[in-house]
Amino acid sequence: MRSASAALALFFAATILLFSLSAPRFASASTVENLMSGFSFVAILAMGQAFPILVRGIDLSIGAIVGLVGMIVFDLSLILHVPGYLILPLALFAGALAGALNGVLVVHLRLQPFIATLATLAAYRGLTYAISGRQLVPGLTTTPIRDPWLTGIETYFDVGRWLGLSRLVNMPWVPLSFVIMLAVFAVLQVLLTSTRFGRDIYATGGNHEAARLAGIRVNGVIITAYALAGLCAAIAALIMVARFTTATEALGAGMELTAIAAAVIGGVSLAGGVGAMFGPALGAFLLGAILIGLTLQGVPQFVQQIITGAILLAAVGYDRLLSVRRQRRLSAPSTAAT
Amino acid sequence: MQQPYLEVVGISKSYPGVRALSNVNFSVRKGEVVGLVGENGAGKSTLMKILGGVTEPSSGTIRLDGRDLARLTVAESMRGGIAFVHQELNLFENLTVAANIFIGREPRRGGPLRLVDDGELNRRAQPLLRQLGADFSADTPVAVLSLAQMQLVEIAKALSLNARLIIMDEPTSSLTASETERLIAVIARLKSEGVSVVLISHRLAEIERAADRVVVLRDGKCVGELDKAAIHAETMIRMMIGRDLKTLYRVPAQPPGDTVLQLDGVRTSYRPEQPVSLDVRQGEILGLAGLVGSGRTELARAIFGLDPLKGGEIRIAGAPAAITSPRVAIGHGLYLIPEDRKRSGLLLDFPIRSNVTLASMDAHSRYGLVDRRAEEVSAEEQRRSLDIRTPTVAVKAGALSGGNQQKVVLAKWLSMAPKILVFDEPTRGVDVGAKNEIYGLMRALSDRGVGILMISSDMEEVIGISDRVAVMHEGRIAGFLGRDELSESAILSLAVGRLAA
Repeated sequence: MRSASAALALFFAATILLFSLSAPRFASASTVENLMSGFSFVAILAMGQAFPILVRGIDLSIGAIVGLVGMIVFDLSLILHVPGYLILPLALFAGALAGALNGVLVVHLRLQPFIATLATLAAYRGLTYAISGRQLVPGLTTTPIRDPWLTGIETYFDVGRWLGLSRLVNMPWVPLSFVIMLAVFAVLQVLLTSTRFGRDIYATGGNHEAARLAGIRVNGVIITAYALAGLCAAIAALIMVARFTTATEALGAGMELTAIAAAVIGGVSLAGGVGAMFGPALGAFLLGAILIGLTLQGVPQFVQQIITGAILLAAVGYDRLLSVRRQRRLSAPSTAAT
Repeated sequence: MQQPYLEVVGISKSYPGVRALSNVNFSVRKGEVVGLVGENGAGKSTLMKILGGVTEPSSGTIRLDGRDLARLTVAESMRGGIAFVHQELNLFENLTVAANIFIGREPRRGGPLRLVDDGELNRRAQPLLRQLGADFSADTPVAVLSLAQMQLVEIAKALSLNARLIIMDEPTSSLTASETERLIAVIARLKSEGVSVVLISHRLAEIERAADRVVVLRDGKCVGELDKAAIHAETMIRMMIGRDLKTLYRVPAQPPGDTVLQLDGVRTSYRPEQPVSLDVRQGEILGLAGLVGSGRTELARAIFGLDPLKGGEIRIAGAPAAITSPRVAIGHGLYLIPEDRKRSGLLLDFPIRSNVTLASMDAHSRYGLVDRRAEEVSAEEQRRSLDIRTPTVAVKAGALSGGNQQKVVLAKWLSMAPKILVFDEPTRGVDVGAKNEIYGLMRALSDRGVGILMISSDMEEVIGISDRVAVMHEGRIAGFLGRDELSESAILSLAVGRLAA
C-alpha cells in the first residue's frame, strides 16, 4: 500500500522532471496554476470514483451527474432565483441522491454495476437535457451566473505574496478549488482509514460473503459508496459551474473515464478492497501534468488521447498482475496445510 | 475367464500429508455393472479422477484393453472408451439435445462455409436416444427437459463417443423414485449391449438392485469385494465403516440446560417439502450428520438468515425469532462458523486484528472512529486464549495455516458472548493437532453454557465429540441418536435412508 503510493509519487516526480527538461515553459508558475485549477475537480471525481471501485463496482455515470447537477444549479439560480447559499446544499444533495440511486440499482435489482451505471449515464444525461434552462428559456443562454456564493468558488489566493516568496520567485496563485480538493481528501481519507464505515467498505470489497456473515450491512455500505461518488461529482460540478459561470447540457461528458483512469493509476484495485485516497488524487494530477506537458510540446489532441488510453491500459494491467499475485500468495500457505 | 476391459493394479495416490488411495485394485469386465461405495472421503473421487486422466497416480498400473499404462491422460481415457456422467450435469441448456450430444463434433455441410448440418445432427442423435429408450426427440431444447432426461442426454453423449465404460457419479441423488427405476432400466440396457457401468452411489438399495459386483473403499483402501449374491446393504455398511474410533469424547461439566435453539418444522428452499425439527440445549454439542447433499449446510444457512425460510419457526431461548439476515442472527447471539473459511469466514487480506473485531466494531470504536488500541487489546487477548500461532496480530489472516485460520474465525465470535454457535465442518483442512485444540475449545464453550450445533461429515468427529447426533437424509431428519446409541453403523444406516439399525 504505502510502497505503491511512494512509487506513484516517484513516477509523478519523474514525469514533472521529464517535461520540465523537454517541454518549453512547462517549469513555470502558470503550469502549476493550470494544474491546480484544471485538475482539482478531476481529483475530487477520482476520489469519489474510488468508493464504488473499492466495493467491487464502478460508476460510469459520474460525468452525467456532473452535467445534471450543473444544470440544476443553472435552473435554480437563473430561472428560480434561489439564493446561492441554498443552491449549494441542494446541489450536493442532488448529486448524492443520483449516486445513491445507482447503488440501489446495483444492490436491490442486482444489476451489474457497469450496466446499471451505463443506463443511468444515459438517463441522467437525458434528464439534463429535459430540465435544461437553456432550452426552456432561450434568452438565458448568454446570461452568466452572478451569484457570489457560486462564483466565489472560482477564487485565487496569492499565497506566494502572503508568505513573502513572490519576491524571490514567480509564485502561482492557489485556486479555492485546490483547497476544496484538499479538504475533500482529508475528510474522505479519515473516513476510509479510521472509521467503522471505512472498515466496512474494505471488508465488503475484500470479501463480500465474509462481511455479510459478520453482520455488516453490505447493502447499505454499497449504496453509501455510490452516494459518495455522486456527492463528489456534485462538488466537481459546482467548481466547474463557478469556473464557466454557466452550465451546458454536455458539462462533464466523458469525465468518468478520466476519473476511473486516475483511480486505477492511483492503485485502487478493480478487484475491490484495495486502495485509498492519496493515489486517486495524485493520479488525477499525474494525468493532468502529462496532458499539459504534451500540449506544451505541441502533441496533437488525438495523440494525447491515445497516450491517455495507453496509460490506463498499463495501469489496469499492472493492477491485474498485482491482484493475481496477491491471490497466489494468500492461497499458498493454507493449501500446503490441507 | 474373460480378460477385464479395465484393470487398475496397486494404485496409490498421495497428496501432501494425505494418502488418498493406497494400493487399490479395481477391475471392470465388458458388460459388467460395478458398484463403488464408501463413505465421504473414502477415495472414490480420487479413483475416478485417475480413470478420467485428470489426476496422475503416485504409483501403480492401469491396464486398459490389455495395454499397461503408468497413467492416463484425459485424451487417452476418452479414446479408451471411458466416459463420465457427473453429479452436476455439463449441458448447454440453450441448445437442443442433438447439439449437446455432438457439441464440438457437429457434422458440416456447405463445403468451405462449414455450416452445421442440423438435419444430419438429428439423424445421428435419434438412434442413440432410441437405444436408451428416451421419451423425447433429438431436436428438443435441453432447457425443457427434466433432470432425469438430461442425464439420458449425457449418457447418449457418452455412447456417441463409443464409450465402453460409463462411470456414473451419484446419478440418482436428485432423481425421484420412478426416475430412478428408469435409470436402472437404462443401466440394464447398456449392460445388454456390452457397455460396462461403474455406479457410485450412497443409495445402497440401488446398488443392491443394479450392480453385478460391489467394491467397497474405506480410507483410501479397497476393503472388500462382493459378488452379486453377497451384495446386501448391511454387509456394505459394515465394510464401509469397521474402524476403531479413538476416544475423543470429553464429558460435559454439567448436564444440558434449557433449550437455546429450537427449529420447529423449518423448511428450506433446498428441500421445501421436508420440515426439520430439532433443538439444541445449553451446554450441549448436537452433531448433525449426514451424507454430502443431505441438506445440512442449507439448514445452517437458513438458521443464520442467509437463505429465507420456506416455512416453520426458529425459537431462540424460547422466544420466536424472525431471522431474516445474518445481522439479526448475530443480534440474537447466534453465530455461524462457515464451512469454507476462505470464501466466507475470513478477509484474507485483512490483518488478524481486523478479522477478530470485524463483527464487533461497536465495542471497538468511539464516535464512529475505529479504536485501534482496543482492537489490538481484544485481538491479543484472543490470540493468547486460543493460542493462535502468529508473531503478531498484524499478520494477514491469509498467511496462517488452516487450523490457525479457523481459530481466528472462532475468535471473532468468542469476544461477543455467543449463545449458540453453528459449526459447519469445523476441522476440514485442519491438521490433527489443531483439530484436538478446536475440539477442546468447543467443549470449553459448551461448558460455559453455549449451545453448539456441529455439522460434520467426519464420522470420527461426530461420534467423538457430540453429546447427541441428529442424522439428515435427503433434507429431513432421519433420526436422533443419544450418546450411548452412537456408532458408525447406526449413523450410516440413518444417513443412507434405512431405519435405525
